[in-house]
Amino acid sequence: MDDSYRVNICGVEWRNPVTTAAGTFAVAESGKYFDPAELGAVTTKGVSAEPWAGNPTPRIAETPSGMLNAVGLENPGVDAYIAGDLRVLKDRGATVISNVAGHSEDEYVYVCRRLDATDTDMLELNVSCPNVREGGMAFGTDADTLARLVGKVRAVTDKPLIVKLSPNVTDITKLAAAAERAGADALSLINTLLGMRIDTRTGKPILANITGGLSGPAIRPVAVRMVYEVARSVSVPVVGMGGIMTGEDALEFLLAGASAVAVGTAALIDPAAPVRVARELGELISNPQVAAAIDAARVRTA
Amino acid sequence: MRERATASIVENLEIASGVYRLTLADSRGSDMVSGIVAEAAPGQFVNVYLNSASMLLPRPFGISDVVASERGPRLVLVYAVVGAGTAELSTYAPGAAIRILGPQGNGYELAPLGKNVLLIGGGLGIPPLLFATRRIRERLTPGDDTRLTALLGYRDAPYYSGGMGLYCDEVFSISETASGIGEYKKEHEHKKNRPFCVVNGTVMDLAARLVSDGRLDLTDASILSCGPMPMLCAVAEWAKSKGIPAQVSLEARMGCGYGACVGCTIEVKPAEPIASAANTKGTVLFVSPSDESLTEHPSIAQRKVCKDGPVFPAEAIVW
Ligand SMILES: Cc1cc2nc3c(=O)[nH]c(=O)nc-3n(C[C@H](O)[C@H](O)[C@H](O)COP(=O)(O)OP(=O)(O)OC[C@H]3O[C@@H](n4cnc5c(N)ncnc54)[C@H](O)[C@@H]3O)c2cc1C
Ligand SMILES: Cc1cc2nc3c(=O)[nH]c(=O)nc-3n(C[C@H](O)[C@H](O)[C@H](O)COP(=O)(O)O)c2cc1C
Ligand code: FES
Repeated sequence: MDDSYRVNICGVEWRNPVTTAAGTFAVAESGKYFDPAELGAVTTKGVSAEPWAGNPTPRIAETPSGMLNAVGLENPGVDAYIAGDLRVLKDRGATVISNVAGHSEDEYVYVCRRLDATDTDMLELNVSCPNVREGGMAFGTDADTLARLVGKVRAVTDKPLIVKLSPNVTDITKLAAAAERAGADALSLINTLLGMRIDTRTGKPILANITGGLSGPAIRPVAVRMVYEVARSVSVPVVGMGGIMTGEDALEFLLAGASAVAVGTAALIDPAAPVRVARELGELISNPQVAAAIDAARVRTA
Repeated sequence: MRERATASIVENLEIASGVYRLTLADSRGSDMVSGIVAEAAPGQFVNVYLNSASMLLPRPFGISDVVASERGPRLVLVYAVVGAGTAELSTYAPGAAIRILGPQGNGYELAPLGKNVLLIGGGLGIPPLLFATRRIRERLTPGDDTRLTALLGYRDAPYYSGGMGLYCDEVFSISETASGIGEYKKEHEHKKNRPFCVVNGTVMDLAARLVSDGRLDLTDASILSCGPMPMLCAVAEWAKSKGIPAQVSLEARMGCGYGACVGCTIEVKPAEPIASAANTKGTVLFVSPSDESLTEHPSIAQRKVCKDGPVFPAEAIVW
C-alpha cells in the first residue's frame, strides 16, 4: 500500500491516516480480509480488568443507514488480551491502539497500568460507551469526572493517551477541554449516539438492553460537526469517526480538522472496508489541491 | 479469503406463498459463487447485502444447494419475505447483481451419524436441510443400511418435501394451519417416497405421533435440525429425553455475520467436560477449523453463532 500519506499522531508514525474503530475489528476474523499492518493503526475492542460477558441478546438492530448495538463490551479481560490479540498484532507488525474500558476509576487505572508494560503503541480510553451500566459513558459526560479519571490514568502511563469522547452531551468542547487539560495526548470522536428501536408488531424494544449505540452513515453529519467543533477548540490531534464508508467520507473528517480517521460500522458490512477507505483516501490526497485543503484545515484549527 | 463481492441473479422465483428461491451465478470479474460452490458444507450460510443504502446489515441465509451446472456454478438460497429487506430482495430481477459473502460459519458434522438419521426441519429451515440430506445420501456406500427420515413442519402448505423425498427413505410432513383431522393424509401415494402429511400440529406433535404409532425407529439414531428457535428448543428437549444426539442450526440477529462485532452470541454450557455426541465420536467441541482467535475466555460461556455456529450440538446450548 502507498505510504506517501503518513501521519504522526502524538509521536506515533502511522503509515496512513486510517485506523479501525474500537469494537469493529477482531484479530482472527478481520485478519482474514486484510493485513492489519496495512492500516495506519488498528484499534482493538474495549478491554477491562476481568472478563466481561456483555449484554443479553438481541444485541443488534438495524436502523435507517445505520445500526444500534448493545454488545456491552464483552471481552476476555486484559491478561487474555495481552497474551492473545496484542501479541498477534504486534508480531504481524501492526501499530496498535488498545481501547480501554472500566466500571470504575480503579479499573481503568489498573488496565492502563497493565498495558503500559506492553508494547501497545497507544491507549484509547473509552469513557463513552452507552451500553454498560456502571462506568463507560458516565465518565465521559461530566467534565470534572472525566478530568479526574484522565489525570489518574495519565499518572500511571507514558504511552500516548487518546481519550474517546461521547456525543451524548450538550457541549462536547467542554469535555474535550477537560480531557486535554488533564493530560490527553489526542482525542477521538465520536462514540455511538444513544438510541432505541421498538418492534411495532410486539410493542417491545428490539434490543434486550432496551437502548443501544447508534453508528453508521446515519450519524456522520453529527460526527463531522463535533469533530469540527472540537478540532478548533483544542491543540491536540483529533481522530474522527462516525459513519465513514468511503475515502471521500474520510476526507470530509480531515477537512473538518481531524488528523486521522477510524472506520467502524463500514467494516462490519464490508470486512475489507478499512483498507479500501485508506486506499481511496490516498488517491484523493494525491491530488495536490486536496492535500492543500487538508493542510489548510489543520492550520485553521491548530 | 474472498472479499465481499457481487453475484449475478439467475432466478428469483416465488415457489410458495411469500417464499422465494434465489439462484446466483458468478458475475463478471467475480468468482464468489464458484468459490462458495466449491467449498460450501451443509449448514453454512451466506451473507446477502441489499442494494438499498438504508439497509446496511447482512441478511444471513442458509445455503440450500450448490450446483455445478453446465452453464457454470450455481448457488441456491431459499428465503421468506418477512420484513423490509427480504421484501426488497424479492423485487430483484434476473440479471441484477447483488453482493454476497460466504460460505460463513460451521456446518453439520456429517459422519458418523448412526443407523437412523432424522432430519427435522421447520419452514425455511427445510431447504438448507435438503442440502445436508443430499450430501449424506451421496456419501453412503452401496449396501449401507443407514435410513434417512425427514420430519418436516410447515405453517401452511408444504414445499421442498418432494425434494426431501429424493434423498430420504421416508418423509413425513405436518402443517400448523391446514384444516382437517389429525390423520395421516396419504398425499402423493403414487410416488416412490411417499410424503405423508399430518395436519394441524407442530413437527414435535408429528414426532410423538410417529413414535406412538411405532413408525419411527430410534435405535442408533441421530438428529440434524434446522428451523425457528422455538422448534429447535423443542427438538433439543425431545432428543435429550430419547438420548439421541442432535445437531441444531441456530438463528441470531447479526451485525456482521463474520465474527467481528460479537453481536450474535449464544450462551453455551461451560466448555470443558461436555459429553456431546460429537465429542464421543471423536471431534472436539467449539474449536472451529479456522480458529486462531485467542480472544475467547473459558469463563465466558458464550459463542458466536456466525463463526462458531450456526450448527451446534443441541446439548451444548443453554436453551
Ligand atoms: C444462520 C442463519 C440462516 C438463515 N437462513 C435462512 C434461510 O435459509 N431462509 C430464510 O428465509 N431465512 C433465513 N434466516 C433468517 C433471515 O436471515 C431473516 O429472515 C432475514 O434476515 C430477515 O430480513 P428482513 O430485512 O426481511 O427482516 P427485518 O425484520 O426487516 O430485518 C431487520 C434486521 O433483523 C434481522 N433479522 C430479522 N429476522 C431475523 C431472523 N429470523 N434471524 C436473523 N436475523 C434476523 C435482519 O437480518 C436485519 O438485520 C437465517 C438466519 C440465520 C441467522
Ligand atoms: C458493534 C460495535 C462495538 C463497539 N465497541 C466499542 C468499544 O469496545 N469501544 C469503543 O470505544 N467504541 C466502540 N464502538 C464505537 C465505535 O468504535 C465508533 O466510535 C462508532 O461506532 C462510530 O463509528 P462508525 O459509525 O464508523 O461505526 C463500537 C461500535 C460498534 C458498532
Ligand atoms: S454477527 Fe458479528 S460476530 Fe456474529
